[in-house]
Amino acid sequence: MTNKIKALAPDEADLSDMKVVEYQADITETYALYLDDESHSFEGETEKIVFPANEAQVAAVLKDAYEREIPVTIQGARTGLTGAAVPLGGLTVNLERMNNLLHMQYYEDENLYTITTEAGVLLEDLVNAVQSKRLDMIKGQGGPDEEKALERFLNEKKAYTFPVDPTETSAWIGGITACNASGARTFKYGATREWVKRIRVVLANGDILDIRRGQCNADNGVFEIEHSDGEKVTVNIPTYVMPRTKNAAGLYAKPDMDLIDLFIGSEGILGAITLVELGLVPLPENIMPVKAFFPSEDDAVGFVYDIRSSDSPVKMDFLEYYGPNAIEMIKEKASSAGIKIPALSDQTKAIVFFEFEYTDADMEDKIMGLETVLNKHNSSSESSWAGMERSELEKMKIVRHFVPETVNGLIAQRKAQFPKVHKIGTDMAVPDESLRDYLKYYRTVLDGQGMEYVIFGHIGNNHLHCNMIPRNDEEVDQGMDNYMTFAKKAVELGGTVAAEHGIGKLKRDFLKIMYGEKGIEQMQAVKRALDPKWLLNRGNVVPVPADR
Amino acid sequence: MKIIVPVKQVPEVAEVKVNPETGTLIRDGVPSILNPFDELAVEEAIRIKEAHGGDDSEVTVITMGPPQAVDVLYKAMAMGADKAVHMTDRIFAGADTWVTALTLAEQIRKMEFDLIICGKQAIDGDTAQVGPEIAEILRIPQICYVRKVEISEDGKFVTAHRETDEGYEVVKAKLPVLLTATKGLNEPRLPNIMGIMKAKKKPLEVVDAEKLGVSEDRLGLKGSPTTVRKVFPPEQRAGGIKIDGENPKEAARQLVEFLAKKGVI
Repeated sequence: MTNKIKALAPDEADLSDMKVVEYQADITETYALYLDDESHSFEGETEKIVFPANEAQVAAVLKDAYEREIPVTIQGARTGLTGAAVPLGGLTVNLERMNNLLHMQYYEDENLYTITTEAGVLLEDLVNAVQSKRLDMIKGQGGPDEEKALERFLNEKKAYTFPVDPTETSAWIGGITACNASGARTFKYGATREWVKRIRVVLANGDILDIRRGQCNADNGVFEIEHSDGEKVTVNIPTYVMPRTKNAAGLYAKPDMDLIDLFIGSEGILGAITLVELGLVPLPENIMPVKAFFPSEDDAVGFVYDIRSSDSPVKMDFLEYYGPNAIEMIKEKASSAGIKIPALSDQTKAIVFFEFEYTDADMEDKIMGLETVLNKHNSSSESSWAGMERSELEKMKIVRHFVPETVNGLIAQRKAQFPKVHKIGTDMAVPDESLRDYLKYYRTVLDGQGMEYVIFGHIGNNHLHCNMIPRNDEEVDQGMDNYMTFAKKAVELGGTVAAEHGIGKLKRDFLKIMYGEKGIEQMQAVKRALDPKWLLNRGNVVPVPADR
Repeated sequence: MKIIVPVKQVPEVAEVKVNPETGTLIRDGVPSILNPFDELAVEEAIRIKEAHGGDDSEVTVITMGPPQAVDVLYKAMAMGADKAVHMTDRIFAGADTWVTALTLAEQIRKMEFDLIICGKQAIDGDTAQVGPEIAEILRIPQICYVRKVEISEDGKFVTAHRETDEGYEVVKAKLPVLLTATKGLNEPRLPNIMGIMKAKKKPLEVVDAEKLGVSEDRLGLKGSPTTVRKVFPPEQRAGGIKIDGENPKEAARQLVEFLAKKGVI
């Protein structure tokens, strides 16, 4: 094992056929979407947008920008919520033309299939191609081993998928890697990080790192990277301890960490990810998605504690939650959408949505065990809503979307009268033992203020989204103050300020609460080592130092 | 009361796309579901059984289809049907509506029944023929497009509201009778965990051509008097043209030029 890695010099690239948009009028009119992300929180600006079609073009563009000291924003599908993809001037590099699936690989020792793709591949396209095994486009694209792996994969009877299952399927593979996206099944399968086997990254100076997991680990917190011109740089890993939660806040840091993990979740500040190799898993034989209905929040939370404990009769793929005010929204929307949920009665104050895998052999044990736990918390499997078909799961997912849709609708309405109004949604997660306390804290603070809000989300990972819905400008300020208070509380309980949305440009202040001034400086030191001119994705994760 | 519900597995139509080159359905990755009209039939059967039950009452669902069609039988049993018959055999494949009805009817003939409830039609083929044909083959009365059903106290008669273009007709018939269900008949229940578990343990009979005892040349594609000769999407209409003149005058000039070229003016 080594902590050293050598960067490759980029190949010569022909930039004459690269799409470039450089007239401001074009940028602000036709390409306005490229100056924004899903947070819609501030307007970006850029002098030029380029659309490289391959890694060599990316490298040539970055090398040129490096020599001329032009800031560069590397951009994915802009589905983020933190402004990370929004440019603040300089050059914008969008990877939408790098949208090819490349090849498959099979690792015999792990019995693992992987698929390698360019960064601009749509997650939805990847999942569809893999699940349906429609992979004609990569036939003949790989070496002999890769062709063999593809052949073998096509002959597998089982269907496979990318297990993390991020909700936003219009994200791109480069983006989900750069922000370490999590998804519906992160409770069971972890975040994207766990499934990335290899990446290729173009560094600020145009050099390329080809990083395979397990080949370059830090030695006592130190990496040595040698550039193609022979210059060596030392990267010192930050010394903070990461929370024991699902986490997308700041750079990954452990003394013996894999180099690949430094780039995953780094939000583009260390390099442009151009290629990703992702692990796949077989789809289970049977899944049962269930919505269980509870008479109180306490009952629902109690159920979650029991069902995820080590002696639980059923291991869940995910556990999602809707609190009392979320249920009101669901009821209203469901009746206008014509969806009837008979088991959802006036007595229902909390819903837990979960899914588990079963076989014909273990089904009865699992369900009888589940019934005992449900009964203990004043619910029952008779009064649940359960599915056997994929279409039933889809219907349940539609119901899940009712909550954010309603919140967004309310916000848009209020914005018309109070332009300052925007949704204030938290992304904190806490360790398992603190779930109950943290949820109570949310309620105490917000009920005390009379703020309108709704709580729902990934309760399995203690990662509940609390959406505050301000009614006027004063409540916006109040909500922002609350956000800070909630962030501090999460950190105090050993949690994270950003479990899945990342830090981007909007949440840097919260990162400071988590890792302190020293932690921020250590992250800046990593950035400085790899990007001394501070050109890549300026403003993401850490502030730009005064001298840059 | 013995109730039989013939059902069909169909693709979730909302998600089906047509291959523009071949004109055929792209079924890859499209989930299969219990035909929604059949879901109404299953629900109604369960409600009638619950209301008019008696210990010997039961609801049997029956389908003709490939091995994976068993999923819709389990779905119906998870809702509350008591048992299921799965008619599956390569010999059944390619059946038109007549042979489908014949195949189902020959099986139903061997079973006890007071009532047969079908969905009014399957959402994939939309023919609405199989239900009525089953009634014809079995020589029992049929009431189609039913949106309300009442069974008499003595369990001998059914009174049904039959939807028509103008309103509805109230029809009374002596059992046994075949009904086809239309929207508004009821609100099908959602399956729950227990229902799904129980479904997996309910009796499921598999019937192939041999067991059915009907000669091969009356079944499947071979026995079908009708065949689908060609499937084609409706002709695509060419999109209109859009005139983006820099100013009204220029746009008007382009419009006149276009109309003149067409020989309209």
